[in-house]
Amino acid sequence: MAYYARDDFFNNPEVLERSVDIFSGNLEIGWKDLDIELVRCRPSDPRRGLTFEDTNVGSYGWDQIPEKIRHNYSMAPRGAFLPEGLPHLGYDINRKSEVWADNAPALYEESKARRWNPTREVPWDAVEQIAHGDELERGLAQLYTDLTCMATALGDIPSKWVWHINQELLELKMFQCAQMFDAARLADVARKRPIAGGTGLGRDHAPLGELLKCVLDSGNFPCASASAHILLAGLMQTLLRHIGACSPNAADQTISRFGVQDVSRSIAYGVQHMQYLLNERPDEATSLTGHLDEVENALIGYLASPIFFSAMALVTAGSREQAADAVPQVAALYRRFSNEHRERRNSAGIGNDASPLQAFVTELEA
Amino acid sequence: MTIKFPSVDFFQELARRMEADAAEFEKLGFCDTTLGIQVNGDAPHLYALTFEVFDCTDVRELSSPDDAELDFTLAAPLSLWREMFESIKKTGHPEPAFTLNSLSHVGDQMAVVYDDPEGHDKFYRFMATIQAFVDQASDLDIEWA
Repeated sequence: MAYYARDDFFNNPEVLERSVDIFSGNLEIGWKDLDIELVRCRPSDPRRGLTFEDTNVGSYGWDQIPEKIRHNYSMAPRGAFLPEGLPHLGYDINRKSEVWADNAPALYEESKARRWNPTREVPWDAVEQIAHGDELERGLAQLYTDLTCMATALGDIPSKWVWHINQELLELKMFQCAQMFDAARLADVARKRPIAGGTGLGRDHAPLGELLKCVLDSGNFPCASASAHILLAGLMQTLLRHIGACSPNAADQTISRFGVQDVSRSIAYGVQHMQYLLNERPDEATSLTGHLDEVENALIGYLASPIFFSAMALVTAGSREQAADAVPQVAALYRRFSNEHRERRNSAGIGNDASPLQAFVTELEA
Repeated sequence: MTIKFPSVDFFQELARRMEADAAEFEKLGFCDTTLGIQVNGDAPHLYALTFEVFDCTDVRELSSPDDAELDFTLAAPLSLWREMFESIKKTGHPEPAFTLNSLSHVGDQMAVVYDDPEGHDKFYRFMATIQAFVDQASDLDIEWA
């Protein structure tokens, strides 16, 4: 324990006397008298229910959060009365632009509304009657193993940073909690699928670990956000789309369709987070661009790794005999991914048309 | 009832069915996007479909993509749309090769056209709803243009 409360309450006789007094019926209810803003909120659309957007009013809303938060370091929700003497709870991310995106509140509502449960909603009986070959199944097992690792990292990023972030930014923090659950669900289903299929999990490999370490070890939240939400989630979206396009199995179709939705919300947040940050602090673009280029370098190690590339060829072709013929299709998929990644980077304000990924794919095509 | 494809009536019928099957679409969650459906051929057509919350609230034919703020447009020749809907007709869901994801994956069959990558990603954020929306055509008697 690193923090000791400012009073030794247990040995303070006043605490006991006060408690006895209250328990005897002498309630202190002066706390009811508050000088706070009174508003009424109703669902703007009854089908959605009462959303964060509906409560974005007055001092309760996020529009009034200052760029630099100096007035509240407590756990109190924004809009609550803050008496003197509240302890500092240790938040060290107290700048709105460090974490904020204007779409975060709506993405949180979307995440709740579009939740799914792979335990029951994946048609697991389809996995018992796999109609495709063992080699395709083996390739899928390797991709699902990689996806499990990626999803775990995608959940670790918000969990690593959320407790640093000032509670005034509560909608953003709640979106991060939704991201954690989205990532947990994806790791859960990606791990279950190859186990249920009878092939078992594949193998971990150093190039994937290098990529994930580069993402996880990002030195500040904006760098972590750019690399996790734009790069890693973008890669996961492509892999899930590819599994859905290549596997004829109904379980894979379901996992692909719903998994793609979950990671795409993180992409949407990441792009708008960068836009918000760079609108406030344009000078940050240089360091973010450099960081993302460095993570792209690790991404190339992964994309070029024999395990990943051959698993992609195997899944694309459906069999080992035809895997070599599928190499141009895998290269085309890399081109599509790199194009989409470049577009997101440009939209976010951290574009680099000569980035390592662009150069790698161009070399591959040559 | 025979209904012509492509036509505003066709997509309005899907919108009507979406509203009638509220439980299915509420389970899939909020869907907020305006997408384009482009049918290429001798007489090309472009439709704007607006989704809000759990419904398709507006269907319009456009004379130009600039007539609406489209997040993305799914563009394919009439023959491919026909293959897709005929695949859906067989079992109520498309065969794996004819899902919107499969057809658009590499972009050589069905193109996903967009100006803004955030609009493009809405295709993936709302994929399950959009697929379920087109799957409702499974028991429509379609007259092909």
